[in-house]
Amino acid sequence: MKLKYFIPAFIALFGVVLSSCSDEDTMTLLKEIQVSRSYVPINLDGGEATIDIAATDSWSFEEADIPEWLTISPMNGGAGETKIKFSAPAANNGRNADLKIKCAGRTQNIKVIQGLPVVQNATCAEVIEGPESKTYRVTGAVTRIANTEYGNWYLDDGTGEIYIYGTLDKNGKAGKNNSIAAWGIEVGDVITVEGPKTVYNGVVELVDVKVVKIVKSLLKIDGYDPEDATIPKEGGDVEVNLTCKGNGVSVEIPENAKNWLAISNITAGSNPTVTFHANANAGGDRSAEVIFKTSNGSQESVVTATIHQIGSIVAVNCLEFLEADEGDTQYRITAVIQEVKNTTYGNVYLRDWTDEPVYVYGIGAKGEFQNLGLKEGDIVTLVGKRGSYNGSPQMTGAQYESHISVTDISIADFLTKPDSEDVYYRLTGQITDVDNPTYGNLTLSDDDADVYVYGCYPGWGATGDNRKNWLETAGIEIEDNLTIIGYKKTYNGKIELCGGIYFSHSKPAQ
Amino acid sequence: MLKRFYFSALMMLLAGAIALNAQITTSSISGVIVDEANEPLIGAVVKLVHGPSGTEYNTVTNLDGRFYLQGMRTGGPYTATISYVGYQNTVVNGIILELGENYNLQQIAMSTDANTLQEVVVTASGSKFPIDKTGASTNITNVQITNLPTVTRSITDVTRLSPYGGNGMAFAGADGRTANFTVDGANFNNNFGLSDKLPGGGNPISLDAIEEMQVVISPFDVRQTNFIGGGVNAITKSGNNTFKGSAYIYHRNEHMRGDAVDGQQLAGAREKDRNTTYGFTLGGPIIKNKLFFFVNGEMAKIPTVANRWRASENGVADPDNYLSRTTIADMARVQKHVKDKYGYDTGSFTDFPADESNYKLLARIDWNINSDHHLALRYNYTKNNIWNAANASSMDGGTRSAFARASQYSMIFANSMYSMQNLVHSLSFDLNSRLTDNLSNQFLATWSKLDDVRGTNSSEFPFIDILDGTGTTGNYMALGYELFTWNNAVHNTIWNIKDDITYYAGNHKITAGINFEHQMADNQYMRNGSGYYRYQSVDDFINGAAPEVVCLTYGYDGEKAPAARVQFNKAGIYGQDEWNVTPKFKLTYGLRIDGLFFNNKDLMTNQAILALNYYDNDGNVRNIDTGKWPKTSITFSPRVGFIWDVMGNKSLKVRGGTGLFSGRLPLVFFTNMPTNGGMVQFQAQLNSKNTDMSLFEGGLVTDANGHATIDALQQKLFSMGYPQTVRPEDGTVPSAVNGVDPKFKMPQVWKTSIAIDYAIPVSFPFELTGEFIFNKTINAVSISDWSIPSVGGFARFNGADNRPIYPSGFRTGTKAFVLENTSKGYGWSANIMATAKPADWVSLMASYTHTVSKEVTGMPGSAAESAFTYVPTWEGPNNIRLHNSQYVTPDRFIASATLHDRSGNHYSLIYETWRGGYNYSYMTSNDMNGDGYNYDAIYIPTDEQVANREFRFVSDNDRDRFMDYVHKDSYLKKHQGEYAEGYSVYSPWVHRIDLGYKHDFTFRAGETKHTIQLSFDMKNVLNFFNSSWGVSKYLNPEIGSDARILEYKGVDADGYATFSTNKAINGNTKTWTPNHNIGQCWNVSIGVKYIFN
Repeated sequence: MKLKYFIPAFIALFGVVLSSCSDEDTMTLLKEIQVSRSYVPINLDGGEATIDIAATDSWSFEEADIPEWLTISPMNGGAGETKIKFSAPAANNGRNADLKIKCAGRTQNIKVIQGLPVVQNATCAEVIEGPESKTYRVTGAVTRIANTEYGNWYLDDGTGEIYIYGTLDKNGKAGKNNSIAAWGIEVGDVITVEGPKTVYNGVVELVDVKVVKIVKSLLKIDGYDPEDATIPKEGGDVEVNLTCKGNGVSVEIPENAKNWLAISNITAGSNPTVTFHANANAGGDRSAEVIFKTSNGSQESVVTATIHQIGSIVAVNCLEFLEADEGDTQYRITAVIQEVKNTTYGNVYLRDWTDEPVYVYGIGAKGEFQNLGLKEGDIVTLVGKRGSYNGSPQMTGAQYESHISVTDISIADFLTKPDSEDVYYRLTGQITDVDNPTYGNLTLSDDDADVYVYGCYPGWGATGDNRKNWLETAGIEIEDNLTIIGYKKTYNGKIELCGGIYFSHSKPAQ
Repeated sequence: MLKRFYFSALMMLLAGAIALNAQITTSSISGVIVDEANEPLIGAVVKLVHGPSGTEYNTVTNLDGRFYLQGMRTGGPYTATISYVGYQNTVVNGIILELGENYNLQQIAMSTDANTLQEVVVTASGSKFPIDKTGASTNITNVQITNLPTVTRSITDVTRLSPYGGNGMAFAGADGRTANFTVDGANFNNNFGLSDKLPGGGNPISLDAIEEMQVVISPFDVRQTNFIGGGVNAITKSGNNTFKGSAYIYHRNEHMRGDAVDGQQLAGAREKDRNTTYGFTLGGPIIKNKLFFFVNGEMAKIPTVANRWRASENGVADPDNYLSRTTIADMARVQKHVKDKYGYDTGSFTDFPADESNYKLLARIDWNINSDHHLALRYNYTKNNIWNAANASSMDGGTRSAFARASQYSMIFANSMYSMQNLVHSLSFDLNSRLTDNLSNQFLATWSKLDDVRGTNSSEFPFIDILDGTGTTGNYMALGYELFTWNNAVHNTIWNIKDDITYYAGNHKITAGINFEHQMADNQYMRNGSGYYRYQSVDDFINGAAPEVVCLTYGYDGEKAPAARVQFNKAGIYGQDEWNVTPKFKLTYGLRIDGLFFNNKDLMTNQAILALNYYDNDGNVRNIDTGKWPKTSITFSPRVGFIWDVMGNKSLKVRGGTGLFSGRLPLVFFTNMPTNGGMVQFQAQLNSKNTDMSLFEGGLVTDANGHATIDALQQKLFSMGYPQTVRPEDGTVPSAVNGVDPKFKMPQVWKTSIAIDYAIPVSFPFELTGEFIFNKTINAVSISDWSIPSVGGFARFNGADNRPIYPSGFRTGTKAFVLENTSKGYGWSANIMATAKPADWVSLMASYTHTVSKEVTGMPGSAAESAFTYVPTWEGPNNIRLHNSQYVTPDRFIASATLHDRSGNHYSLIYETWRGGYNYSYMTSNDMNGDGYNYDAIYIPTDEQVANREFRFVSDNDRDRFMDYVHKDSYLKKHQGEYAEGYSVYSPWVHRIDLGYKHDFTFRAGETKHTIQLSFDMKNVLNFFNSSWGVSKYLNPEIGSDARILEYKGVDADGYATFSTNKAINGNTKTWTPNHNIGQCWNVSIGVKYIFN
């Protein structure tokens, strides 16, 4: 090549190379099937939408993906261009569908949307009142965290409390996602969540909620000294260590605790310590939910802490128990198991001489009731707290202390037993004679034998005058069937059932 | 007088000869000898003598009056003596040869003046014009290196003199990990590529040992290979006939740098941070004119404390005073127990290894066997050492402690510390021979071993964690061989042989050569390689209670050092002709053929992976065989270059060329395949969930001598049924498969360049160069995930931003990252450069370069997944569009002035300014397309699209703030209506001045000249005067660390995507703010150097 051609040829080469370098900014599409639009909107009030499809081969929708509310026409076709119509009736709430069209081994995805699913802003009270399955958006403070792995916690906005059952993580994943740590959720944070409502065992829940917003609490409880936040019976202090990003901390002790709990010191700074003091406790266990508040001018944060003081166990009868205030005071009751509602947990009715049955919501751990061999008629001693359910008083957290086993027995067999004031029997028979109506001395008979009952008292624990006139009070008359508990004693050669504890009675069949 | 003038005029003529272009360790010279009638003189004797060493080269002119000398020592000055019977001898002084470049001696006309036998003496031109080069390259001499301001004394401080450099080892916008760095022809690359640092901790060789460096971008010589962006060839100093030496100390510390940026004090700027470098050089003759030596030694110490924690007397931690709760009594008890029972020395618990250090040694012998054979031998050793405390809390087989092993909660012993050692061993054997007057040969053999290994002072012993006994998994004490140190190393061994033979015939110089390279690279990483035990308490450990966890990683089939390894051989054969077509025009053309042969013996197929079916876009099944490297591939690299002396007087040269170049790829992208293939080693992790731990009661597992060896523990595991061997069918499917396409080829690029050199007709050397280089990718590297089906069938949003929406569960199977090629990519660079030497005491240079480089992926990171999913895209990782390379500095201007005065002062000033030191990508803050990777480029809507609601915001406020920002931001407003391109938002210009000042105190004692040189090097001088000057700007932190300015907020009822924008974004948002980082401040190094001769 001559030199005069070389340089122009070389420059021409540049042009060739340069021109081969354009990068198309067009979208990637399938060769086999293309659609004019792949996100297809339909009016919420019902309607239709059409798209064009161009295929090189026969095509068809995957029928399994098509929801009932959606009508597609046609559902399949051949090579060439086709119009497809999507139609749906009016809907109450937004909905969508992910569809697939198969063509020559390739898949074209289509999304159909009919309106947007609406999320309703609501208070906890509105959620509690509102219908199930609806999606709500609620803002409230985290009051307790129940499970960190799944993200179960309680949300309270002042109008009520709902249970958050599952929190989605940042990728929208549900399940065992450690979402509490991932979001950094702490008690006291004010969180906006949205999710569908459900009710489970009477508890109103939002399930697998999406976290919309977290406003970190300005206040955090770092810990307690002592760690269980409990003041001994003899009196003493509990220190609550806080981290405070607001301007100072205010502390509120509930009115009903002011008589025993006081603030003895508050330190300043971003890590204040609040010291609570209580004097010696003559009563039962007690506790108070103290409230800490702070504000930075635009945001207020509230956290609560529960301060306990150990107290004595107060021995009460059933009536006293029912009349006691709800709280952490421990009460001891000895009474007869009048009725067993649940043997697994030991849900029972207790009854003593005051004739005011106490419902006990579980005794000890699950199965303990059965393991102890407790049954109807036994005389048990339990320690528990005065609680309530739906306004009805009950004993909660009941712990078993002791019991006297009571054996059901026929009168004839009772007569054969050795004398013992420690062994109790339950007998049933017909009253054939009343010897002393005041104390209820009477004769109890069945088809086989008679026994003398030396006293039929109103129930366990009756002493002095409380023992008197029970037959009259309860309307028990001769010929009534009576079930009574007592022990065997022989007095002057006469076999008696003593210490008789009324259990139940019924009128004779007419 | 007239004759002299005539002769000088002749001298101005350019010789037609064109000699060999680049070679990596030597230089060459060529010329034409004519008589007064301009007829070639045949058989004239040409003798070249290298002044300092007396090294002599002889040849005679051929039928065309031409001579060539090849394989010569670089530098000089050389004296050329041309003699011919009946003619005056002609002597040319002051010839300086540049590394890898041919010196084209002016045409010499011999005079027949019989009356005088005086020599004609001329001095060679000081300009660069005698240097023949076709493509882009920059030579940097030892004098320039000495004068350059540098504080860290790194190679990359020097390579910035190349117009295409300035950003570490990234040249012309290519990944610095793919640059080719050779020293005396030996490979000094970070071939493995876990980081972009050079071997030996970043500085594999002392600047004081370097004679000359050459930065090549597009050399059209077929012998140059192994790079895409650029290559750096360095040669080391040689001894001469005069004994010469130096001793030096350089120092820098925390007080010798700025501590504020933009008026704001930087935290920690004055914390202790010192570095002192000591070194010496010595060179001289062993036998005068015959045998020479040169040695260089250098040592740097960086005082550091690797572990500050100490055990306490009372068991009470005092973090402010680095006292741990671990008691001295417990430490002593455990120390004594293992010594008595197992004979193991834990090392001290009061005195720990500390300082960072760097040692360098270089020795070189040059032997002039005779005037035809010259041999150079060079050995180099570098060791960089950094100590670390044992890994903080990582462990396998149990719950990790919340407490670091060396902390207020827990203590370690000295022998549980580990070092990170970067080692370089390199040998070079370079024999240059002149076989006949027309035939010369170079034989070059090199060997390099570039290792990054972990070191320890511990003998073989398991690593033992002892907990605090509270049952709460709190670390209390750790001892033994650090748990991730046994056999933890990256090894890279390369040997290379090449032989080039050059034959001269008339106007042609023909070169042919062969090259053979072997590379081995492996990554050894055995967690718990020396065994691992965890005990609940000190008492448990001492009393031989059952440990809570026992771990051991071992190689299958008795392999003691299992590694993910790649080995390949590369054979090259090449031929080239340099043809002086006319006196004004030289053409070079040649072809290089390279074969790449992988060795499959290091691999084993994992059948479970092979059984996985993946489908290509045509529905064909593809499988991944992790037991095979790519098939043998042959690459052809034809190249053509030319030089045209337009006026015939060397005042205007047009040069250029075109050709293919093949380059390197960080080898970690290969070893990722076996690393993730599960066929290399077995990791046993025993705890009470899978093992009856009472089997480990009674203390550590020991051998017959009572030593707790690896083998003893391994035998115990074998006896419990743990596997000893592995077969392909034992493989299991990992969470992600790494593969290499069987057709994979090393990267290849087609480079084309054209340049004009113009000598401005003034009385001193003053040259202008304009150069344009265009690169077209032939084979670039990319990775795709075979488990992602074509996005072509995905549903898309409606509206302006209609990117695909990845359906849930879009993958067809296990992730499969496969290394593949792409031909997408191109780039160009344009450079204008001026150099001048107005007087002997001053040299000036100024250069502006604009660089564009478009690629599919710059392979960020070293894991396969990060290498392509971290690239911003809108259609997802398998559909990345061409974008500006993340390694590009688009605009760069550099000017330098070097001045010397007669009072022994040397000044060097460099002004450097560039745009785009940081580059960003406008992205959404969340994963908009649902591909699982949060690197989604935004769509930048036009005003019309926003007005027409083709692009929608969740609120008018978001819309207005965002569009105000778009209108203000220079990148966004230019690219409305497009998807934002990755890495294309460039930080604004930054201006820096660096100063080097040296003063020589010189005195003579007898024959010897002694010099004490004080040096003061300051980088970023402007910043010294004002803390806002010389500071680069980076993305306003209010926007974020990434430019994520839109958030996808879901679709509306019309199927349109809706967006909100970051609160910080509005019409007043500044995109750039000064970077508050200590690296932006001025910094200084001072030195003192004693030099003799």
